[in-house]
Amino acid sequence: MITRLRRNHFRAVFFLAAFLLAALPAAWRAYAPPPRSIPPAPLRDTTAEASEVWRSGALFKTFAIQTRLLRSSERWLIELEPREDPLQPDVLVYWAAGASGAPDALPPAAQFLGRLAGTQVRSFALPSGSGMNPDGVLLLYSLGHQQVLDHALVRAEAPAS
Amino acid sequence: MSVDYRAVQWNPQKKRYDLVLLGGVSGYLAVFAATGLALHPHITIETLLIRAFGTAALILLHVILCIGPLCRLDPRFLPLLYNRRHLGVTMFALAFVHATFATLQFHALGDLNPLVSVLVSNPRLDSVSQFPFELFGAAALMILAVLAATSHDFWLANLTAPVWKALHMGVYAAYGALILHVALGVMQSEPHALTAVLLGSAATLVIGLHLVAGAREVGFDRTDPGPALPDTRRSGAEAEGWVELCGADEIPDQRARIFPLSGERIAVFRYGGKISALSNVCQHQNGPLGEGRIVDGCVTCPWHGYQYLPASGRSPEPFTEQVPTFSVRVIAGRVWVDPRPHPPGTPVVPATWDDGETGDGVDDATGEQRDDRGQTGAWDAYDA
Repeated sequence: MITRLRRNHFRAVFFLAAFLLAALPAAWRAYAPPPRSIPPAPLRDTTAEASEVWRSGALFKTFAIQTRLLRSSERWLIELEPREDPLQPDVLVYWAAGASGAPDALPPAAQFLGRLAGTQVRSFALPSGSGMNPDGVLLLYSLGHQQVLDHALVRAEAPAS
Repeated sequence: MSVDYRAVQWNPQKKRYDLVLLGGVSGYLAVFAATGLALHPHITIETLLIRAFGTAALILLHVILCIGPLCRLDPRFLPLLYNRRHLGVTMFALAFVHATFATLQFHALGDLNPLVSVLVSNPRLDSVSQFPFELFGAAALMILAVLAATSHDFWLANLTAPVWKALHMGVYAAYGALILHVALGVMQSEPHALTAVLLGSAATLVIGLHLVAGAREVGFDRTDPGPALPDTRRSGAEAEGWVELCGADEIPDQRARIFPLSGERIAVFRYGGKISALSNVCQHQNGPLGEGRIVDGCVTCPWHGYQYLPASGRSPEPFTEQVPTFSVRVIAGRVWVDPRPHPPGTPVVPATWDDGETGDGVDDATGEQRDDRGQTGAWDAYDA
């Protein structure tokens, strides 16, 4: 009986070897790099039409995120491009219009813009209430941790580098 | 070995083994956490734990899978085999922590049951690169849970060793699923050539060792001369279907030589001027008795130290394990064995042979020294 078991053991490993030999290269060949940028469809045209007001790589304190403020004929846009994966599962982007300080918690009036995903470039339209003056604070917030991960003060004028 | 079931039959060897295991795992987790924090200062503690416990489980599984073939290739690795089940349970615990944190981090914040979310959140079953790799991890975890839950001697004894070993061969299915879980998961986040090389090398090492050791074992079994039948055209022991194995002096004292015979392996032990033959298969976990030696007058399994009296195949009281025995003769210095096994625990007269050292045997050049199948009276003297 043990001899048969030994043979079955050998066959099982042989099968596993053949399976992995076929599966791993197939999986590797099928790899497709994730798209670097997936702007939401309604924003794509708006972003293309918008002109850059300023850009900064040091607007956020904790995360290295390239930030661009864009202006179209109708609204203000913020474009965020993380330079490295934040390694956070749920980086949500909020906008606190008119705020100027560094909030410890999510302000009740903060408006949800969207979320970051790895190093993908994301564009967000600031709420129309911002009018001609896009003053406020961008907040990166983790719902899981109930914690403000980072924030950035946004003004129409270019930030001091 | 123990006559009753205990959660863990502790002894100094097991304590040392588990201390080394605990130290190794703790050290790895600490080094991984420190390195992770240094390289990624903003990483969440959950992400760090997911990665640390996941890689620890994967590495430990590779170590576990390498131990078996390494022991077949070199007996110096046998101490690693002794408490391998504790490695397996530890590995499952690490994998479980990994899975728990991953489920909490990625599936607990929605309005769907997290466990349901694991199974349905990625519907890309038609894509290789975007395949829901979590399914492979979940399948592997379930298999490992069954193996960990049935790792105790209670299950080994009640399922019987062959069934238990067949069940635990499920570890290869779990291993295949885990390799795919890791390969597909890594590809969907941070693919790196180094990761592919490391994963491929590790799988090659595990499978390569198994194939080399397995081929050697299969090759050895192929030297089995096949079932020996009585042949009236021949004379003597050969006519009765006995098989000549080797010279008595070719068996090291207090040790054995192993022979494939009639589809199984037998271990022929020499101890002083006596020679006995037993099944090579330990009743506990089917370890190779013939690779052990005689300690305190008992054949001692090299895997976990289970003992059997060489003349009867019975464990000394109060233990109850028994293995089949075989009739042996020494004729003109050559060892002959009847390949038909006696029922487990059947006492058999050891063949005696004058090894020139002990002087307590009889060089049975005429073939007169022999046992009588079924005559088991007065064998307690051998067992004592």
